[in-house]
Amino acid sequence: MTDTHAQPEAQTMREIALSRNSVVFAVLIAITLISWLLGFAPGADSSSHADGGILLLLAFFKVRLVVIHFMEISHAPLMLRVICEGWIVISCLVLIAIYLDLIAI
Amino acid sequence: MPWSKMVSTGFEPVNAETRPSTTTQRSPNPGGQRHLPGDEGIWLFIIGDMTVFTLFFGIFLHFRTRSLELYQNSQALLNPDYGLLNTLILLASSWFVVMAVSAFRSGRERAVRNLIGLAALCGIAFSVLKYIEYQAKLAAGITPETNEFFIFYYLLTGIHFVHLLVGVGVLCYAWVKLQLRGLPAMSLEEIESGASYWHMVDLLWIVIFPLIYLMP
Repeated sequence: MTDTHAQPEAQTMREIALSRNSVVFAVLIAITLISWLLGFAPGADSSSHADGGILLLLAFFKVRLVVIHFMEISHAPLMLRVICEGWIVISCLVLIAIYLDLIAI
Repeated sequence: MPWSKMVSTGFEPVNAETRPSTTTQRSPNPGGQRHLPGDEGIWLFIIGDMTVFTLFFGIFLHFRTRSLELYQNSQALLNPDYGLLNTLILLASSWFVVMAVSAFRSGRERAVRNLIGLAALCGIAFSVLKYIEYQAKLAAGITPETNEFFIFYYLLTGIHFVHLLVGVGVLCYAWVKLQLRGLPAMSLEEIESGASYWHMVDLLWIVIFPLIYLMP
């Protein structure tokens, strides 16, 4: 699997299509579909608060995949990476806490 | 040193050797050097925009816990199939954009155009679905004035939709430029800036969809 930043030479379309980012894309689709089928489709029997927390965790896991791989933050200046990762963790925790009524704003 | 420059260089001193290139280039910095995808301005915008939206999400969840039944009943009036389809469409569009950037770095002009075109088509498909969804709601008499949940529904999805339309405009603009003048028409920084903005549109929806349509 190719890393576009380590390889300055031109890639073939095959390399581009079969890169790590394509795997990330497949994972994003899979998570979206599996969580949908597993009963996070509304109207399903599971409607507890734990499921809401899991939904948010899955959402931010997907967000992190997009930020780190698609937006190439893994190769960005360190300060920006710290800001992005920090935002992901803090937002996820704070939103789950508000949802579970552990904190109010 | 301005804040934006500090962020983009990772707080390292800016000199001729370490400054990210802003001239047209076909490949990223070799040797694993850190690289900011796009210009500093777009990243300042992205960070600011994400902050505002996150506050919005927090406020939504705060009011939701206070009127849980109202929000649950209102959510039941939504059609989450639209939301799921739109999520899949935007994920695909981000993938196309990622490959377009790789193709640009490899100097593959036709691939860049085709992939940007596909991403734009995804954005248009999202817009059509959103229009149909809004039409159905309005026809059923559900407006932003219906109740508190629907204020958030229209505001969150509506403001996101405006961001998306701007993104589609940017993609179409890039496509036309590439069509008329080929790869030299755009710099790597411009392509990466547009790409970063588009990914932001995608990841906003990744949160909005479960928040509005699925939360139990």
